[in-house]
Amino acid sequence: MFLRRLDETSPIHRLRDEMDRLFGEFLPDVSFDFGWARGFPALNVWEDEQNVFVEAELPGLTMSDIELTVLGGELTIKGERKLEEPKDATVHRRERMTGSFLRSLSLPVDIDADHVTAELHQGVLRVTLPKSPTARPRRIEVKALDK
Amino acid sequence: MSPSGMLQRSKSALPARREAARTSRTYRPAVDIVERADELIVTADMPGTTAEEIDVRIENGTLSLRARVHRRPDEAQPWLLGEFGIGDYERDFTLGDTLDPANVAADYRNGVLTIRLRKTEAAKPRTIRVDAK
Repeated sequence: MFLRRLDETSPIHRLRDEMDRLFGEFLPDVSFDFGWARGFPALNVWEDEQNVFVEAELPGLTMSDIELTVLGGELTIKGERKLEEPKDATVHRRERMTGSFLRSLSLPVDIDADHVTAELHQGVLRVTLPKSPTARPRRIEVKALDK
Repeated sequence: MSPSGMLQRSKSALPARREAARTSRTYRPAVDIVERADELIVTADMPGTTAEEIDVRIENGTLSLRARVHRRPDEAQPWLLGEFGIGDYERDFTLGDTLDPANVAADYRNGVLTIRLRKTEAAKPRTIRVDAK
């Protein structure tokens, strides 16, 4: 017979194990917590007591190329990157992405949508989303009752 | 009450990614390279640095791009979501001898570095006039 059983040590199984290991490492279930899948642009999100910060790399864009909306606890980043085509040129390498993009992010806490600010500095977009007062940590004073 | 029980939960699920975005690894910027009759244009996406922190160098026929990128945010914060790493940029290209290493211009705008390398006089296309006899 020419058929061989694939045993657990065969390259194909090892490849599968490698893939499991890779995806297990790089796709933790956090994306399900927030309810979105990865897309473009990639986002870094962090917080302090007052704000949630969202950052994206958008080189070559200006603020007028980007549309930001906060609605119903969701931040949406929308835009388009158009690259200039030099005339009479031979293309040797084309790696930079071009085209339109749309990315939504469910915000993990209540946001004061009226005071969201955004700045774009050397291709880095940073959105500052102030937490609504109810979402901020609050220090509760503990009173001693026994006297 | 905790400001957001959900956030707390996410943080604890993120140690691997938080690490990945914090190490001092370097990144290879995406580039476009086009050639025109008299020049070669290299365009590189290098967001988050400054013109002062960029080092463009030509040495022994190699064009090297280096840039320092400072950590963002400045203070260590646990990521709620960490999808891209932040680190210095590094990339090298081998240049043909048709380019003039003394005739290079670079500018940095909106996070994009553009380098224009002029060709040597000998490498530029020229039209030869044909005389009728």
